[in-house]
Amino acid sequence: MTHPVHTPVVAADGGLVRFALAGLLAGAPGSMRVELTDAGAAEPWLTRLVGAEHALEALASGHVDVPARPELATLALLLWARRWWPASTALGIPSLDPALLDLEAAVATAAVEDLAEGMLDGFEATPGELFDAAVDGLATTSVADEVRSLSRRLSSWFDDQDDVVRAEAADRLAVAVLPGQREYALAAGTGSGGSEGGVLTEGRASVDWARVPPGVLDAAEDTVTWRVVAAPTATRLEVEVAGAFADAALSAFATRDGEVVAEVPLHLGVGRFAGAVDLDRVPSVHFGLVVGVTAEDIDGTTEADRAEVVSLVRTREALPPEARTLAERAATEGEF
Amino acid sequence: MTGSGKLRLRSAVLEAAWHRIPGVEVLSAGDGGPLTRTVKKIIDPLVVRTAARPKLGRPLLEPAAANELTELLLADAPRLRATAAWFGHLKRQRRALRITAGNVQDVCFPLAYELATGCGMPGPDAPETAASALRELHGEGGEAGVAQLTAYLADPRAAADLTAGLHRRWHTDAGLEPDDAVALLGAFAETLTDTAWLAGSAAGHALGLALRRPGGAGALARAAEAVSGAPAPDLGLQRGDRTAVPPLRRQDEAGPELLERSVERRVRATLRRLPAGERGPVADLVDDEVRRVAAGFGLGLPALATCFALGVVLAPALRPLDGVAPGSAPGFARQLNAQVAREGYVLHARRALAGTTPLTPRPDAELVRELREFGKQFLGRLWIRLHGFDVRGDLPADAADVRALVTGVVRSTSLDLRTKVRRALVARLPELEAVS
Repeated sequence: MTHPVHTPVVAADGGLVRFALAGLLAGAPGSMRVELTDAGAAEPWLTRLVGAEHALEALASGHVDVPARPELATLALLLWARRWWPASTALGIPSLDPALLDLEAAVATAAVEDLAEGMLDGFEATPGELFDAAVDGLATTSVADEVRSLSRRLSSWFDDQDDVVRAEAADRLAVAVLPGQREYALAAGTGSGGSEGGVLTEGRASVDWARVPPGVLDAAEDTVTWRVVAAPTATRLEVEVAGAFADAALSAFATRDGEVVAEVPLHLGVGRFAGAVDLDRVPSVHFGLVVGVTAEDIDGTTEADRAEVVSLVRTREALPPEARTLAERAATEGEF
Repeated sequence: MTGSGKLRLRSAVLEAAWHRIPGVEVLSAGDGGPLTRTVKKIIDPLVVRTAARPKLGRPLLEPAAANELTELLLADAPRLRATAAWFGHLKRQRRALRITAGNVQDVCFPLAYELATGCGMPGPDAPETAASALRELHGEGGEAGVAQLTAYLADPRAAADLTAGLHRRWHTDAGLEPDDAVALLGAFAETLTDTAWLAGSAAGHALGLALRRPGGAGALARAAEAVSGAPAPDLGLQRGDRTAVPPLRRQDEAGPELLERSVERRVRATLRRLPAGERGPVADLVDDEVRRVAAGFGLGLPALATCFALGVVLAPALRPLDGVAPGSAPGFARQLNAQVAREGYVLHARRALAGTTPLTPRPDAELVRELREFGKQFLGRLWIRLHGFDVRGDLPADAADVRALVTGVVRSTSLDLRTKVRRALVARLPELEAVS
């Protein structure tokens, strides 16, 4: 089993293209694996992309390893970053501007279209949809020159596609974009603001990235604190999750022996989520705590998974600028 | 098995044939072969019709299939040249009309082929024709055939005659007992041999007619459960215990159920499917359809009704969201289900849409229901495909073709759901879950 956090992919019509995360993040993807899910649908682009010999190998065995194509590697990296980028104030990994990621993904998708026309099946979104999502968020950015250049490329690509409306919109963005700083991350939380009363029991927990939407919570370990408090009227369970970048519908679930004993709806505060519920009775033993949308079993990430990804992402700071995404460069420039 | 030395990559066969067709540059890739989208939007569905000729759609072709594919393509060369010429006009008009929906090739390739079919090479009025075709495609302007159909069915005398004719033909005499028919289909689904397919060829009409008798729905559900090894979910075939006689007009439909769709809805599908030059007057189309409606499962050709019946007994096992199909299901059903269940988006949806691995800040509960009804959606698509075959008189040739047809419909159902999942997630670009 390979968790998706370790396997960046690009979905194609009739197949998947996989990359190894370590190589991709190190800026040296090496090889890529094309896996077929529907050989008939894949054959037209497959043979063009990898050549007759490799295509025959893929048709015979269901997959083939070939040298990575930079266009596909770039797209895979951007799609992975959108889902799994471990932004963390605590770890010093800046959060990435979703609008910049959209814009770059639009350009990368168009580049893959130019490389292997008809290969993408549209599931990953089209350049048009990505550009639409990006355009409103890019009026001011610390990387205005780069945004201008990407917009011009997209404009000419849209024009080739006879999409006049988007070609003009991309041109307008190229003209209008201004240098400046954008505020898109909230500051880390300050004090807990817990209620009065005696603390009966307390503990810490970590967020499993697979349980929360991307770009919402700080990726560091041990960001969840909880305690059971004897308040004047009732016994309360209070939960706080430090480090929030965006709002989402999240809860904390207290579990004992795999059973959910209490659900605490969490609300976004300044740079943190917090919530509390009254408990029917005081829990007699220590219990576990899970933050997410539900407490059901999922194919989650382990602490080791997360540590590995964090360390791989950290090595990217040493990469030359052209090997990093524009969103990363903008985030770094915004910091210093 | 033929030696693999004789097998050729399909794209190499297409490229070689394509080189012999002059004047199709706008449909060609840099290497001189057809663009991937030319293959997907024109050659496969319109020239070769791979849905009805699955042997010509395989990635590796036997010499005979390679020759047949080449001949089909070359025989259509004049129309392909006209298609290329029409595509140029459509591109220019699309710019002028500032249409942005969809990929220009995805949208305009089939339309160019349609114009080439109806008008041949573009003439002096081509810009106007192209513009009005685009306007019609993007939802402006009505279609003449649909207007004629509506007018015809609104005539009280014609409507009364047609309704009387339909009721006269609406038999319930099944001939074969449902359990026997299902046993034949079960044997086919298990062995997938030509012999079993032939033996079962009467089963479709028999089952379809049995559904019109009291207790028909229950009998079919029990039978389907016996074959598929899974409790039959609501397959959306009919509202009640027995199939109601379908109404003539859409406005009289009681619901969306497959077998109770109006004659009007069925004929509208035919109007969409057949170019104006290739179909008879509306009154004839309606007469044909009334005869078809009266046959089991509303499909005139027995082999097509049996294909649908096969779909009915396989459908309960198609539950990709639940993972693996029960071991008691036929191997073919398990294989189909596994094919979908393996898809990245399903693996994803099994958690994401059930609200466990959220992709969006607020997961969409509505989609879960859609995904749970895979079997029902599969049957809806299968019926529409078979109805199209029936209208054209196309038939699967043997057991392998039936298998390919059903597999293709499962795939297109899956792609449709994939699109829905994607739409639900479009606000945040999805991680595509690749779980091995």
